[in-house]
Amino acid sequence: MFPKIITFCCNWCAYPGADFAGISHFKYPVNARIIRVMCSGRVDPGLVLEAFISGADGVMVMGCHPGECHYEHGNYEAERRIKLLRYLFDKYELGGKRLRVEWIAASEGRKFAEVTADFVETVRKIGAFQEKAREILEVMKDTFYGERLRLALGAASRALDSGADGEKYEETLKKIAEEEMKKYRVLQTLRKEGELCVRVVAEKLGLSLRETFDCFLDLKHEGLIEEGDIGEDRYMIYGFVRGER
Amino acid sequence: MKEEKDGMAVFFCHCDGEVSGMVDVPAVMEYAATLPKVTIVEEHEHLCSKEGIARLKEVLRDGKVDRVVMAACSPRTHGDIFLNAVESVGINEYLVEFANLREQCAWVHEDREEATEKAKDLVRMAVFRAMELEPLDRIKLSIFPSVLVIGGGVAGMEAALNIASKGFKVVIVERAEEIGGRVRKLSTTFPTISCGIPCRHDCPECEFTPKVEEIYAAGNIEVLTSAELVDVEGRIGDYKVKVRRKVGEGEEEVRDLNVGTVIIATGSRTFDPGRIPDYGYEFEDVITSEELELMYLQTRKGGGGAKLLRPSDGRVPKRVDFIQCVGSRGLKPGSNPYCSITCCLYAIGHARAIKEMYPDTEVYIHYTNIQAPYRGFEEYYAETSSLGIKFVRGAVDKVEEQGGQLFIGYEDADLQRREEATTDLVVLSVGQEPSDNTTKLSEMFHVERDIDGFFMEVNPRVVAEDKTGVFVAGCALGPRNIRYAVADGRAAAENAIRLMEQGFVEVEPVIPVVDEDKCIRCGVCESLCRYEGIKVGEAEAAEVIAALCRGCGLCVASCPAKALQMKYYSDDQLRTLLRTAFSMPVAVAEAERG
Ligand SMILES: Cc1cc2nc3c(=O)[nH]c(=O)nc-3n(C[C@H](O)[C@H](O)[C@H](O)COP(=O)(O)OP(=O)(O)OC[C@H]3O[C@@H](n4cnc5c(N)ncnc54)[C@H](O)[C@@H]3O)c2cc1C
Ligand code: SF4
Ligand code: SF4
Ligand code: SF4
Repeated sequence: MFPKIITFCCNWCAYPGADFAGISHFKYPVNARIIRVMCSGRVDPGLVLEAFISGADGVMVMGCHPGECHYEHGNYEAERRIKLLRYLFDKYELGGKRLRVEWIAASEGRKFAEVTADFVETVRKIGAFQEKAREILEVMKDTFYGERLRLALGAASRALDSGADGEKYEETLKKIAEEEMKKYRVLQTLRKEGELCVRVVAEKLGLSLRETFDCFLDLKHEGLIEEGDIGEDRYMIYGFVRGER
Repeated sequence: MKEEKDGMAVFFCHCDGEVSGMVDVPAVMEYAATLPKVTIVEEHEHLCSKEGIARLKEVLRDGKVDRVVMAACSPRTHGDIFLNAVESVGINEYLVEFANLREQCAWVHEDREEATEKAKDLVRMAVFRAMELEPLDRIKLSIFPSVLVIGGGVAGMEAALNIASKGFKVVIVERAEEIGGRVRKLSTTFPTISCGIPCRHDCPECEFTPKVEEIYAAGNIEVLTSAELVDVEGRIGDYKVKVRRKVGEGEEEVRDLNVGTVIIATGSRTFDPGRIPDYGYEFEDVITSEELELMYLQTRKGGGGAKLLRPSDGRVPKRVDFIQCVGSRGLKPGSNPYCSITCCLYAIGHARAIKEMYPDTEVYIHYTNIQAPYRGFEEYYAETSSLGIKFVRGAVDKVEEQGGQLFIGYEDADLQRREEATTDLVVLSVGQEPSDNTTKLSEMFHVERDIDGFFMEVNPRVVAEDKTGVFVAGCALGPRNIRYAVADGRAAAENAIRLMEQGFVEVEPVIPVVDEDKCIRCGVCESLCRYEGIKVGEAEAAEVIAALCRGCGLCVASCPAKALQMKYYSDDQLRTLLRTAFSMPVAVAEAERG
């Protein structure tokens, strides 16, 4: 079956909305599997990426309409995460439209059916993932399970409540996410290929020496890699995944 | 190492053909039997029926299973019935998972083969998640046997009296100097029948005396007037409330109360017509219905009963125009979208009263749609028309004053023409809006509000899942008449009494657990939680406050250190659903091949 869709539904609006589609006998394609959570804010962005890694071609997160979240603001958090994921999916050419946030009220059975049908079509048009996608998805997963981006995401609503500029904050999130992606790509390379020096990693990933060096440093600080031998120039510091030598 | 009871039972319901009409149930059953751990696969025509439930229990009692999958309708439909049945035979209800084969499969697909394949997927997902579930016990919270009633209008008073009559203690906190609420400011109320408070038309003190006196006479009702809430802490069953109260000139005291449940009955406020220029509220002889009442009450106090005298010159008006729906029904920009319910009946009542007092005064009522859901109202309305009161359907577009004379311009939709006329007094039938403290109270107690800003009406099903112990009554829920406000007060009291009589409440154990070694004390969880469900100390790891946590899982999905896991919705359980959504999980598939 193609495409395979995972739909996260909150317990209060979207899941009853899906039930209501059933009660009203509104038809939609068989491609979607619904996963119930209490709140759309429960949907960890890392889990969304795991859905893709497990074979989904598209993921939707459905929650209550703005202002009507059973838990007041979980849906905004869901939206913030999916927006960021979409941005990265587009940037890494995975197709941002594979991700969607939708607000479905308990009475919106028709909307549930229509949105599902439309999403299935959208993802069908994007097509299957390319070969290399899996590696990027793994890196992205690490990024979204990583502490740095999660701290920034988790602090967003507090920052906005105390007057921070929403657009600027979004830009910051994107920047952090991109930096973290780089870092975890370096880590992934070391994981795959064993001990490598900065110069080689930089070449492999098409990054500058400086960037790669910074990634090495960060990874070292976080205790994810250890420093190995030192070569002829300062960019020939070797690194390997912690405990794997 | 097999325990005695470690199998799983999967129950299929045909739902009288509703499921089996589109899903090949025997094929899915056959498939279910091949899944790991599954030891029993059962079917029934109608699982939620008496025989169905009996069969379910019988199978579970005899079978060596500790986990159950219900492949039937939505868990939102008969979930409770099945869970109760499962619990009754000693299986923990948190070891049950559902495969929604009716609402989310059979009813929404058209191809039998496709639907059957999807049903297999749904059952596989449920079976694998069920394997990951762990038994949980509901959390029992004690209920302190006393109630705080905020607002002493008719709704609050009715609630207080009902609760007190069951022997529980009540504290009424009333912002005004005396209890009674809006009704105290009404010279007459309509309809005069069965509104809960006997109205004798002419005497507000009298109409009110019985109820107010009862309140003061009740030994277990304490009334705090000129008082307002300043702080709330605690949880359902145990709230610590701070009340600030004026006691004499410029003096205040702060009282600490401990209550188990709370009833919010703060009423509504009337719409300020100054917000819509069309109505000419700046002119002296354009008054609101509230001001009309005040005038009656004042002239009555002066002796000799109520009189209608215009504010500008103290003369009896020769013509009065009532304008309906001021600030309601989205009639003009700036008004609220909803109907305020009481103003029609109210205006008609007053129009009659004016006609009775001054038969020569012309009375017009400008309306677009008369709203009055009462028994006997039609007769009342017909009778009113026969008194010579003129009902004019259409909008008023102008109220102006020139040289001390009021002009009114309006449409008469029935005659299909626009009219302009001079008039002596314009009464604006102002609508109602949420009381000014609604937002604050809703935040203090975490009670939801509706789109219009009133407190949300909750249906009984949600009351059962309520984790606040806070109930709302009267116009705080939106405009309504006295009799409904009183009925609300009674219903809210019943909810509070039920909790107090039981002495405890059981809440869902669906809450996060903290991995103390992982927690970096960043405070993200605490800052995201709107319910104070999780606290982070300076030096200690985060701590979940089970009584306050609502189980949304927002903190879990946001914790930077992944130090939180959710009961019943753990990452692993969700991951399992993802991995089994379209095929066997890799490990299992490999094991089978190998
Ligand atoms: C102009 C007008 C005319 C009406 N005429 C009729 C009629 O003829 N017939 C009819 O059936 N209905 C009529 N109604 C409706 C009727 O007044 C209401 O149904 C009724 O008063 C609702 O009672 P309640 O207890 O919910 O609110 P209220 O009577 O408004 O009482 C609320 C109380 O809460 C107090 N309060 C508010 N906030 C706080 C706070 N933060 N802390 C402490 N106390 C607080 C207020 O001071 C007040 O005493 C009319 C309404 C209006 C506006
Ligand atoms: S009750 Fe009558 S006057 Fe009031 S808003 Fe409704 S229709 Fe308008
Ligand atoms: S968000 Fe996580 S790491 Fe931060 S304080 Fe809460 S539990 Fe600890
Ligand atoms: S699960 Fe929700 S309610 Fe409970 S502590 Fe976390 S954020 Fe608060």
